[in-house]
Amino acid sequence: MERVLEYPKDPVITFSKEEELFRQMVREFCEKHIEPNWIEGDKAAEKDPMNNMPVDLIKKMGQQGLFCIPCSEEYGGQGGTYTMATIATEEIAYADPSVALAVYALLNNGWPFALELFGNEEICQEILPEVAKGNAFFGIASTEPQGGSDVAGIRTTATKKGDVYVFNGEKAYISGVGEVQRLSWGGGWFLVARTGGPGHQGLSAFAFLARKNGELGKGWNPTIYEDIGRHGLTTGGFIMNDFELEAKYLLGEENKGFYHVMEGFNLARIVVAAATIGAARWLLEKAVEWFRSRKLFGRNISSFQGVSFKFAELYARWEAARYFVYRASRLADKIYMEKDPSLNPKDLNVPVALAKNYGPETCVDLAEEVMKWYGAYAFTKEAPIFRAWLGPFSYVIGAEGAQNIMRVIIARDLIGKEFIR
Amino acid sequence: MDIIVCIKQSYDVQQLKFDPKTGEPMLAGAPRKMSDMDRRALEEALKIKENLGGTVKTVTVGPPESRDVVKEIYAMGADEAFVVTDLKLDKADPDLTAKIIVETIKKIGNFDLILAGAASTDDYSWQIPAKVAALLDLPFFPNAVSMTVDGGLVVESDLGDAIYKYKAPLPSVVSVSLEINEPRIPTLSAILKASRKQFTDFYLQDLGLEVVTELEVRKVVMPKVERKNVVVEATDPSKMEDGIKKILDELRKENVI
Repeated sequence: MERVLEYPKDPVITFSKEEELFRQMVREFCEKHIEPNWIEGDKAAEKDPMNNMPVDLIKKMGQQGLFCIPCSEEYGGQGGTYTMATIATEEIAYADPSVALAVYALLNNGWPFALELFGNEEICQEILPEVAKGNAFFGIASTEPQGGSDVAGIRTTATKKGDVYVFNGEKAYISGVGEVQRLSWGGGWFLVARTGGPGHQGLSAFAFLARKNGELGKGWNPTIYEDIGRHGLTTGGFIMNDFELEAKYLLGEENKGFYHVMEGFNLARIVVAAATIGAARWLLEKAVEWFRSRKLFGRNISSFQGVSFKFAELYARWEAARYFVYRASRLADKIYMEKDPSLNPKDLNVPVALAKNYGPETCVDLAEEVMKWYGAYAFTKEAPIFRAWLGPFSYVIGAEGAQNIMRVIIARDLIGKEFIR
Repeated sequence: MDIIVCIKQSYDVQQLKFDPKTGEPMLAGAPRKMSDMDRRALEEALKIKENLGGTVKTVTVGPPESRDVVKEIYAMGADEAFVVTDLKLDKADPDLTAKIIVETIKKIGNFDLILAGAASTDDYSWQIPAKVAALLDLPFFPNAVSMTVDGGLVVESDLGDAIYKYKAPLPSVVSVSLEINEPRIPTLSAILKASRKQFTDFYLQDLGLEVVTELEVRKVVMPKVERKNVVVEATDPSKMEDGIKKILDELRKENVI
């Protein structure tokens, strides 16, 4: 398919021949299965979030190997790099700029990889192949009704009784609550709950399976929210009433869950930012197409510098966001794939926070400008632009880490923890 | 069944840019990809192998950049790739390309069937498969829209006026059209495995050939499509009928209605 904007030829962020071929193959998959259907899919799921989830498409994406990209082949993963997961997410979001499918894909790349980092072999063998095939969902459940940013303040408890942990509490604004119920195997989340005293040192992480082998766990009571955008991937909450989970599903060490989930967040935020640069590329192309055809006062509207200069500024922001995204993913490759001894996971903090802070804001600001350039037409549901505004907006509001938390991370790591209190 | 598939690494014409002054394609550094119809020929060969067993080997002829196509060939599932490269082969004519393919096939050895795309995505000469068949003295079935091999080779060829169904002997050369199948899209894991696989790289001297081309390509330019810009004035609502009539007359003149 002809692209309105050529992908930047970049001697700084470079891709291997395998990565280039993979991007080409993901594009081809998206052109065939996603691009022609995303608008109708988004509309249908807007009306009925539970019954319009594209289960068939998720299965196809699984067969194409678009989930668990960085996970080991022995667990059904693709054995790829983190940059390959980033490439796939960017391209899926370009094809579905509502980002519903990109969010499904990014969650089911980032969090299964975090599961593999901290989970034992038995549970990786049980869960990851099902996620990879598109039979199960595996995301993140940390947010609670009282807030998401205050992870150390989590109230859900997991009390150990013999060989099981018993969960009580409530999680809110969690992606995938519907998918876990609808996909053939089920799935769950990298869930954080309190196993010890107050504060971040009393938290543990679990591979919390609400449903496995098609059977729902007892004491798990879900609800689905009506989202304003990103339709096709459900958001919901759930209450746990004496929900029992075998102790083998504990991830990493007990009471070290805060550190484990922060590492997972760093990984997931890279692909979150990748989704927003994919959607933003679609928006830039929509703008260029419009500039070349739309005439006012006998001239193309891009002949007005008020329009073209703003476009140039936003394009520059997109290139910068793209750089942040791939710089962070290359760093993740060095830490987790190449095991570079000079680096450790904390080295991702600032690069990832920059990408997660900059990508979503660039995308949403761009969407607002493109809608203004389109004029009143953009305010109708007939024009698809608003769908690329509302979906990525979820990441400006705060999904996968609030924007101001990203600023806190950058300031804290650069200035020093004791100087920002 | 042992199948040989001819595969070209073409320019990706959809991404090709043209010099606005001369109309010539800007080929330096232009992206390339496996030729669309050749990809379908490979898909057809892989499907036959999945049903009946055997091997799928490929032959690629072109400039050194053509080696890049091997990753995709292996990622799709071919067993062995043979590549003949030379800097001068970017300008090879169909006669020479067919000769090189045939000499390579002779080196590969036994086969039951040769498949190729009916035409390449960039040069679009439609000549190579027929020339390969002629040089090997094998029957040729062009432009297949469907084929089956279990219980004997049956090819449905689109020859323009109709679709002809042939019972074909083995070995034969079959060229395939775009309609024959939807080729598989390789997974990442297949791409990664493909990058570790070796292929056979031939040079022209290995085949006892050299680039002697009798065909001179003088110019390749984008065709100029001039718009006719016919304007029918119909500002007066009472004369709208006349305006419509004029539009219809224009369309009839162009033989489009």
